Amino acid sequence: MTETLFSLYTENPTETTTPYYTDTMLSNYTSENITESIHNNTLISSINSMVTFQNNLKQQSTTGGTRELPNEILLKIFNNSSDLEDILNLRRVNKKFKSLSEVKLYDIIEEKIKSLESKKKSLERRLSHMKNHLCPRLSHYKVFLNVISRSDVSELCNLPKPPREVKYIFSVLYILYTGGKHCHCSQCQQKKEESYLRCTKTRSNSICCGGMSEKNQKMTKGRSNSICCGGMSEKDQKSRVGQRSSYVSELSSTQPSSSVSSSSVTSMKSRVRRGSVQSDLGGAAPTVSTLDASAKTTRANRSQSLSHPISPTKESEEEIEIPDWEEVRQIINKSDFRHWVMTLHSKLDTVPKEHILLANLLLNKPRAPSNSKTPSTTGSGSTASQSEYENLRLTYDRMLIVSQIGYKILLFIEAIIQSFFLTERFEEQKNNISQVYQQIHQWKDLQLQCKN
Amino acid sequence: MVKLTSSDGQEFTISKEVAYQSVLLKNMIEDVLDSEENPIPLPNVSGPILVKVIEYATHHKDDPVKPPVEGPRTSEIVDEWDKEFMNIDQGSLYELILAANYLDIKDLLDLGCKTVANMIKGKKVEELRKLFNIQNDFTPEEEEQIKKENAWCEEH
Repeated sequence: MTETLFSLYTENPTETTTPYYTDTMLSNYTSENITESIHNNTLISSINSMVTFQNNLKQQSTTGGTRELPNEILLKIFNNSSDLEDILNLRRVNKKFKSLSEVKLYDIIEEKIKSLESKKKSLERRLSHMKNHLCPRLSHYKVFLNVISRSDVSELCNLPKPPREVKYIFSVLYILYTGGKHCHCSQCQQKKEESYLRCTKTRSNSICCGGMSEKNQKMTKGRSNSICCGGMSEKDQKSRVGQRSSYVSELSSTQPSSSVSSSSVTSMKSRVRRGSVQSDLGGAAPTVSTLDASAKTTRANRSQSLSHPISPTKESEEEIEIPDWEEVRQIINKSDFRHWVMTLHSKLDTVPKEHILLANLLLNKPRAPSNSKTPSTTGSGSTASQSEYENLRLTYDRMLIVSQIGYKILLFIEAIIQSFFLTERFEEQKNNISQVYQQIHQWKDLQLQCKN
Repeated sequence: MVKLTSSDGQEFTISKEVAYQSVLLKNMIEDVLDSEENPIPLPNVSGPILVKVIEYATHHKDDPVKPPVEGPRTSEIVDEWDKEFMNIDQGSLYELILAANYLDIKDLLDLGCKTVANMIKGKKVEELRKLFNIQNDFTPEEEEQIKKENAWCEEH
């Protein structure tokens, strides 16, 4: 009996044969056999054997007749899977597979950690290289943050009919200060909300008082405009704007606050002219300009050669519109604005990133004739502004001819933008390192878990 | 010549050259038996599987000794004949792997493992469970934890 069962078991019968085997075996038992077995106390053990055999058959049929592979072979199989995703899927199959696949996962993580370590090292090397080059260059730009004096600003603001180059430069400065109508930074959003609330409050007050005179309406409008478009307090700036970098302020504090020497200006100008103000920070860093020495190249062309890390999209480039001059004039006549310009060198990090990007966009906005390029703006005022600045050549040489102070402001704005891009690059690099560092730690944790 | 007997009593006669592909057979022939007279019993290998093993060993008998693989292993099967040879049902494939393991034929074992590794490639968890006839024994909490870990791994 046992022999029959053993041979049947090792033959690996398929599911279809199961009833045949069991029925045949059961039919072999006649009633006499059963009675005899009862007497000999062997029936129960025989039944037990048969039940076990049936269970084995069932198990065989559910596993499709395939034998289970031993762990050492499964390990070999998993070792041949080089895809992380496959190993991760194997981890989820069951506990045994999790343990076995983690042997391979451990090796994969080891490789990952190695590559991350080498990436970290290279990033650190780059950062230290960056630091060495960044400091003198930032210092260089800082010099140009001090080129403007209060009297320059006052003089320029009081010009009855400033040339369009100067007006354009002031528009860029205005964007730096307020962000303009299209800025979506948190600071501007909050300003807009505040403005809306004040407008609502004023309106409700005026309704209570029985209507508003025309003069009052104008005043409210003017006030709301000024709230919308700028005039942020220093406190607000500090509290709302994320501290982009303390690096700038640290450096700026070490700079002499005296006005720039003519040699320094010449130095920057000559560097700009040569187009040599290129980054040594791995090739992807910003360049100040590729202005042609003959001053024939316009600033508009410059945008094509810029390779800023934070490259604005084409859509946003189209979106930026030149602010209305009257709006700009209102702001620049305010003492708040003048104070802001004069103290900007020491608090550059309080200028929202979005404002600088928008200012950069405006500075590089193509100023081709309107018939060659359809303006995306809808307002008639902005269209008028666009047409006013058609074919405007915004080169350093041109600015120097048009207005000395305008030229200084152009340098000032350029210094802000370039300092921003440099510090952004530096911060980005620092963030990259910390991210890699964090990743290494997390991978090590998982590796330890695999080991356990 | 060497005589082999499979688990189901079938007898096979092969050349020593072919038999030497198996480390187990090589050791047995050299150390113990006069296999020309006495067939070597292979109780763990069935007749049909032994046929496949002999087919593989005969095909690769003249292959030069392969240097050990450096760097990460891959499941890519380069040889077209090997690919065709491994085009068998899953049950036979597992039997063949087990036979290769038992007979200690490294190349055949590697080939089998690579074939299964290719079968694993791109399969989802449920499909893998079906492939290996395995029941999920994780608790929902454990499964969730592994999912989270896996998601993190895939992200980074």
